[in-house]
Amino acid sequence: MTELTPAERLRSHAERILDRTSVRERDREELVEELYGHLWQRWQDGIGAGLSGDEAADAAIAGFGDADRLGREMTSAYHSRLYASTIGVLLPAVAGSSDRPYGYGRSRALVFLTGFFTLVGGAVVANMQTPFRLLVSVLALLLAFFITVLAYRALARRQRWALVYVQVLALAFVAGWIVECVVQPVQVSLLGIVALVVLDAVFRKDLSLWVGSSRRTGKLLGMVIVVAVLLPYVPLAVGAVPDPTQASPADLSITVRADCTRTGGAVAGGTVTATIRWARTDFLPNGFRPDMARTDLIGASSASSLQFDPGANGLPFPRGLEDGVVVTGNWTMVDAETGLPADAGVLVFSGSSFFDVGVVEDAIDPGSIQANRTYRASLGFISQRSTGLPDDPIFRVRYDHQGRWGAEAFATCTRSGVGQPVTTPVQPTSQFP
Amino acid sequence: MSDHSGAEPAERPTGVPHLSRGDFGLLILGLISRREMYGYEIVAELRATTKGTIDLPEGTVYPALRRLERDGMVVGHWVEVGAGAPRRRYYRLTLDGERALTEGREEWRLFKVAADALLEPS
Repeated sequence: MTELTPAERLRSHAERILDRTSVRERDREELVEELYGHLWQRWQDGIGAGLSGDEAADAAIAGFGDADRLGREMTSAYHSRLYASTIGVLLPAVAGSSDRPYGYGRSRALVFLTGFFTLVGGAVVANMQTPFRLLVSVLALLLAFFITVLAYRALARRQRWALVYVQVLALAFVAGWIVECVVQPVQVSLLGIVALVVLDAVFRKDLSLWVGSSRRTGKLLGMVIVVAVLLPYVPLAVGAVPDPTQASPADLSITVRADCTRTGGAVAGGTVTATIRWARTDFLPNGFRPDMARTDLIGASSASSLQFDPGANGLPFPRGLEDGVVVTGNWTMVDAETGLPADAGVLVFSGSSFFDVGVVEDAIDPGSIQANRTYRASLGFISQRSTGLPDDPIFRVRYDHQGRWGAEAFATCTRSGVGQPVTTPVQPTSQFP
Repeated sequence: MSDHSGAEPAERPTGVPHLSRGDFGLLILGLISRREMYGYEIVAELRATTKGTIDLPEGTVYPALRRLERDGMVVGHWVEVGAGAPRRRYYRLTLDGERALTEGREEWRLFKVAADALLEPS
């Protein structure tokens, strides 16, 4: 290895300081020249004072100040702190690769894995979301991923915020893992295990000293870091956000009619018919929809349902087998014109065909529904009671839109009913649409 | 101009209890207001004028100069100084710099009066 001359060492030191900055190339060249000029003059003064060339160079370098710190100061002189912590860390720069503290590698590994799983999770979530929610989710996940990239780089630049990020990340994963284990024992979480290992290191002094000369993290930045750690969970919460690209209760009309037969004035039987029409459907474009229609995804229920049960004013069908009602036909939704079924092939009867509980439910296949077509479901009933049913019983038809919202309509033998929005579905089934 | 509660310069000068980034900039403005100076000269002058009370790590002056230049307080230009020697970047005050120096001096004077009043033994 060739020995550097004192002048070369001085220039090298000036370049080393600037290697730790994020400044434009033109500015960098001028700065190197200016710093080198300073060191050169100090070197000359040292020689003039009787020092050897090397001794004078050593003195000039020692008196100039810590290269790392000067580099950071120089960066902040050119840019805002935000820039230095974001774009600045992405720019190529030379950072000391030796003397890395205990826990440095595993901290970066945690950040790396977080970024990786953020992307993988994003891909999975994308397959399960409606368009607007997908957009929100993807933006959140991209931002979360970008922050992991910044943190990964910033930790190498010894920036304190990156260490705080890793600390919050590790705590969050460990806490999440504990919660998972409480809810469902014996859960294995890769991120949880890595976080547990990292937790040992990130609160020790070694890493704190490593970033010791970096600025302290204020409350505001601390809050931003916590939000950043929570960002990957946005897709799980986004179901609560209304999606303007999707149908709402205003896009749905339901009418219910009960045609009753009477014996001696009492209702002996009849047919309940619901007519349903969507002004628009909220079903996702082809490609997304098949996944939406699955019921085995995390908490997702894509099956909309029609319910048919006794009205609020009293049971039209008294309890008890001998007093029950025999239903005739199937409560299956079909296209009013073609007669083709629009259900998912899942017809659910609550109880027996003796209709003493009074709920018939049909899962509707989202894929078979088209906007501006009329669909119909009907069910016949015969009273088994010798005295017939109470006068003018009430029937309720309810449409539950994938657990998010619904509409219901009431009808009696003498009066048809029009559906009204139900803001809180009876059984919210999914955080996904 | 003077920021008595601001961040420190790159490294705290020896023998000075606390010198904020704003105060340090003000001192540099004060020196440059006398005549055009380059970095090495500013450090030497600072050391000589304060009789060594302010003895900064020498590189500290350059981020401070860059900040002043970025804020339009000073402007730098290169001067050739002769064969073999690196050229020097001299700095001079701008009108904004002069204004900031005037305001900074007044703030400093008020601060000094207030501090003296508090620190004088009763």
